[in-house]
Amino acid sequence: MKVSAVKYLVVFAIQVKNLLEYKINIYLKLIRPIIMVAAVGALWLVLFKVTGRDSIGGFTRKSFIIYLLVIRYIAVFSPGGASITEMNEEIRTGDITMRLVKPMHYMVWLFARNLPIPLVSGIAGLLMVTLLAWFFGAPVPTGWSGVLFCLSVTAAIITQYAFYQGLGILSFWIYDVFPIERFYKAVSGLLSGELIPLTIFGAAAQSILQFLPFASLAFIPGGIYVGLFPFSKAIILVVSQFIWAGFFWILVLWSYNRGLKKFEAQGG
Amino acid sequence: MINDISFDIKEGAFVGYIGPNGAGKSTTIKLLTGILHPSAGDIRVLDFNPQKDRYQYTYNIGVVFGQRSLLEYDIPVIDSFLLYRAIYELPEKDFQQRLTEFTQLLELDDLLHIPVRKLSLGQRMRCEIVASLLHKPRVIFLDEPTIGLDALSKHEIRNFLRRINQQEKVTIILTTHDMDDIEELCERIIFINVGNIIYDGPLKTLKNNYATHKDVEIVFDNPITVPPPFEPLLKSVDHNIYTFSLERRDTARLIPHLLELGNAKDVSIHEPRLEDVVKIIYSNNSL
Repeated sequence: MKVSAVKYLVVFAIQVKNLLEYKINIYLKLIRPIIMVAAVGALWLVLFKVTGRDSIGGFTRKSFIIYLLVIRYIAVFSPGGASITEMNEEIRTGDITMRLVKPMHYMVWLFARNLPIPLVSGIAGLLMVTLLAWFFGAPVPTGWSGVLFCLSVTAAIITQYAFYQGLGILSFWIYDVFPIERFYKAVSGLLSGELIPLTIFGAAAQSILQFLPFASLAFIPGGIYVGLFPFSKAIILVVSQFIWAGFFWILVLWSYNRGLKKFEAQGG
Repeated sequence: MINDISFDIKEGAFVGYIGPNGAGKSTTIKLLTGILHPSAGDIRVLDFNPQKDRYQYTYNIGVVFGQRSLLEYDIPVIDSFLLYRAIYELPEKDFQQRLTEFTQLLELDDLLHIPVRKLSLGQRMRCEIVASLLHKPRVIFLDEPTIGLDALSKHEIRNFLRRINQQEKVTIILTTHDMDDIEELCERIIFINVGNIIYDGPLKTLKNNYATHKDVEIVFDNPITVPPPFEPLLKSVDHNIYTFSLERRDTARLIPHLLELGNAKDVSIHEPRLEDVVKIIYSNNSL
């Protein structure tokens, strides 16, 4: 299959134009992570105060706030959430047919279409995290740790997007995937370290959970950023992230091809 | 679902693919466009297998589904056209040339810079058709392209399609419930019902074979009394206009007798409309 990147760049550009029609949505998406961090962070600050401890699960107050910010913006960077909605809607109404009769790959088209918001939010988020890290005096990973952090974030975004695409692809078999999405978000929120760092669960549970795909989404990149892991262990964790990312993308593409063959194209 | 259907279409033909709701029309179009995968059988369009060669094949086809949109809802029409220029990798010169031509033919000048959401259905459909033709497809699939349109919009779209078919020798397969579309545009009809082809041939033959009656409308200057032998032939009376339904073979013989029933001012003979023929076929459920 001949693939031209230019057409997807135009899809991206057109989508930027689409989004600019509703600018308020962009501002809200930029602000939302800060509110969520403030809410979760406030709970943890209370916990620090009540217990009177300087460190919980290997996190200080500062490192915990930075950890929360980092993982929240990694989630924002992932162009996935909107694609579930769009894919579910297009598959169940049959509107995906209008994409399938064009010389383009639907999954790449969807990616190009869903990239603008996370790209803008993610870049703004990175700047904000860096500023806040500087403000709180938290260590910013540099050198090889910095490289590992970037690789870890990349793997996290790729895996997160694979999960979201997988959920969207389920629409070929299940009419409404939103209950499954909600379930996934609840499980992922708990097991990824998004709400509670996995170190809180104790050493035994952590040793298993950190190698599950969910940890790839938040705990590993967040932990690398705040220096939670020794360098050698961080390398192993990042490698495991890419193995999961590869595995899930193979699964997603396989499922997509199966789904297309099963597709019934509702409506006239 | 469709069963064991088989047909060939010559390049440049304008074919009407008709049938009642649920007959399998849209399913066939989705199979021909590569959207659906057949459980058995072989499909070849322009020497492509629509499913296996989907990517390359779609450069050669244009598709309009009347109930779905090719255009981006929130942005001006021209941006959607520019998007398709990129998707079909059209050279700038070819794109501009076709856009200018279509814009003039369908009077789109004032619409190009309006967001799609602000267009009327008729305006949007004209733009949808242009979007499906910018890349100069060799085959066009039209699924209910005039659904919900007013008479003027239908007329404009039909004229445009006829012109494209004749000038560019593009093959057009039209699925519709609007028999006026078929009657005005198609020389061949494929009639499908319950997943099977029940007629495939010229429109004229379908009418000749199936529509056994013609309507003869006579205007008398005063009300008349229709004698018993002609009573069964009387279809309707509207003031002094009397409509008789005559068998084709008897039409020429009976008209002089009917004219003698009163002081006839005018007479006209109506060929059966395809709409009426199709109604009869639907109600009989066979040919």
